[in-house]
Amino acid sequence: MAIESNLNILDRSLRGLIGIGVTAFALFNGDIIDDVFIEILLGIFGILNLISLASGWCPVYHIAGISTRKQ
Amino acid sequence: MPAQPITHIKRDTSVRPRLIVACLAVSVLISAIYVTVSYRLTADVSLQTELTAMQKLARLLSSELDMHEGKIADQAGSLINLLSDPNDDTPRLFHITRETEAWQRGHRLSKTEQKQLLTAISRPIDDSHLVTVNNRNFLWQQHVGEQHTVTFAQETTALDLTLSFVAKRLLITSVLVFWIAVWLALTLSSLIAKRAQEINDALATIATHDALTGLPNRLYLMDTLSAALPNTDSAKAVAQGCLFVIDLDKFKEVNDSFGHSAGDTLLKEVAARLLKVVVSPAELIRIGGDEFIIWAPDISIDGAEDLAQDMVNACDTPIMINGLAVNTGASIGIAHYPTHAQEPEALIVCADTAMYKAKEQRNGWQVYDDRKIADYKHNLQLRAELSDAMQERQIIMHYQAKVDLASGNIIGVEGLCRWEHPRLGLLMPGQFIDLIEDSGKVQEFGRYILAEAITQAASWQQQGIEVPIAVNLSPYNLLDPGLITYIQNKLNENQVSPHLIEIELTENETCLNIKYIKAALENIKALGIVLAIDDFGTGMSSLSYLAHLNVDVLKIDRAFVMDIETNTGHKAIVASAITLSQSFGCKMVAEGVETLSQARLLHEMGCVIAQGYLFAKPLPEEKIKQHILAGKTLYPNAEGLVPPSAVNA
Repeated sequence: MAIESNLNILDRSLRGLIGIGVTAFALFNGDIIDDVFIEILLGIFGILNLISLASGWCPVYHIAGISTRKQ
Repeated sequence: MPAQPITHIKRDTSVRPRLIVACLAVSVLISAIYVTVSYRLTADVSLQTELTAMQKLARLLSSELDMHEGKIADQAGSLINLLSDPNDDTPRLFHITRETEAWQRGHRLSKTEQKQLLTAISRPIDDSHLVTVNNRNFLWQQHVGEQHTVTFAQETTALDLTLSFVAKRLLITSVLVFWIAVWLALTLSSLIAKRAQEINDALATIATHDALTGLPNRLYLMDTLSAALPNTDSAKAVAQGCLFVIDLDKFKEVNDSFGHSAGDTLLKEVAARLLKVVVSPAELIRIGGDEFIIWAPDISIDGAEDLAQDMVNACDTPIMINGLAVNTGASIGIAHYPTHAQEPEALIVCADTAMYKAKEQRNGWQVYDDRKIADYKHNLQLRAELSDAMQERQIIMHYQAKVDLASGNIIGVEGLCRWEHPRLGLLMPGQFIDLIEDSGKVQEFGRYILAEAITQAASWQQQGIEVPIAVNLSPYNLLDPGLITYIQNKLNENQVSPHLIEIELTENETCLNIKYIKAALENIKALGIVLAIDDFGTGMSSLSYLAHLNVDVLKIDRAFVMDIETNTGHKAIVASAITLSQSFGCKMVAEGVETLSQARLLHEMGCVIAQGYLFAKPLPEEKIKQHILAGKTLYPNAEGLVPPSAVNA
């Protein structure tokens, strides 16, 4: 599965913001969540978004065969 | 209808949003169910734990009190302090009874509330050990010991605690689940929509393409044409273009002789050849059977003619079928947009009409021509009306007198057909005889004419007129195997003597197959019917006719008579025809005699019988009958032939 950018700039930025926010929340939420399992879930979710930010590529878009990037 | 389904399929993009909405709705529903169930489960577990703890406390308190003598109040207070958490600030109530006394202690509960609480506990609604007082939930347990009954109630915080524990986790989990559901919805909907599109594309291809040759079909053509022709705003609109309709000439024969698979091979081969000639953007389309259409945008009529010639050449090269080289010709009709038509359907009709014209003329290709096509359409219509014409007896006979050149007396008549057309009036044979020959109704028509003549002869016979009636038949008629029997029956039915009927055979190139019709002619002669050769001298095989067929009459063609006085060649031919007829012992009739001097010359040359406008035009039955009954000479002004001696003098 060749990695080819499929996110436009807005999509990528939005994912970046969500990724940073969610990852930070998972790591530094103090006693708010109090559940490691959920923190790990949030972490994974955040990191996936950060990967999209870094690569401009979304695996789900790739599988679905859609792209928000102008051809 | 044609283009609609394809465009409809292509435009159907509502699947995807619907799928997304459905996925999201399902995910929200599932989240809601799980949140509710988890909350209730946790709340139930908490309540149960709390109740168990209270049960233990009540039992412990009861057992301790049973072991001590004295007033309850002396023991209970300290025991309660000992057994319960001193920091626990939960509102609660202890109520202890013994046979003789009762004691109670409430914590953060007013006297009224305590009373209400005890009343509620004494009348429990169900066995859940949960009562509500002043909108506050209390759990209660009662232990009946040997001497003491301990009732313990405390406000429950389990539900609130559960909510606070569960809420955050459920919220975050729900957000994650929802997010995953969105992805799932996107993926699923995209996959399904993509698959649906693929299926739609495949269906559209199947619908717009011919399975045998793989060429686009009529549906595709209509789609293309409607995009190209009238919509000037369309990106595919063209300034001009030519539409070719191609029909294979021998396809039916190949199909009938070699079977359908051979026909299919032929079609595939022709399609392959045409594809080599047709260059993009022109497109080859098979619209069914052996008909192909080529739509060539941006091509002029001159260009179209060149292309048509290429295609005719391509189709003229033999194709090997079952080891035999089959030469299937093609007829091509060409219509030009916008000269001939502006609408797709009209353009096809024009090209189609031109194609039929080309097929009829066997000239390969034909460009649509309004004037020629009008004639053609007129003929087509006449041809369609022929059957009705015969059924409704619209075809009638006019009779032209044959006269004795010496006296001008009528000695016979030639029946000539006329079509009393309800719309067009009286039509001459020239306007419809060819149609009859083309339409395969020759034999039917031959019988019709014979029946007319025999009926007429019978009618005249009854009125005492015994003048032979001649009818013209094409040699094709003699191929009718039932003709002899038919004539015999008609003669018998009408009780007509055979010598009153003459058959004049039109002499043309088809007489080459003389051996086929010889037997028929002999049979006709055997019936007693007089045989004549019409238009003698213009055919291909006059002499072989004479040699083989023992005909009774020769009718020399009008072409030789009309200029007999000036054209010595024609005069010589007439002279030799007269000699020939005398040698064969048959009569000689000169056709087309229009002037007295012609009549005189012919008479001098030895010709006995003549017909022509000099004597009479073809006349309706009533008029010719009057002439016959009058029995007078038909020479104009009763002039008659001036004896040669008188002329010389």
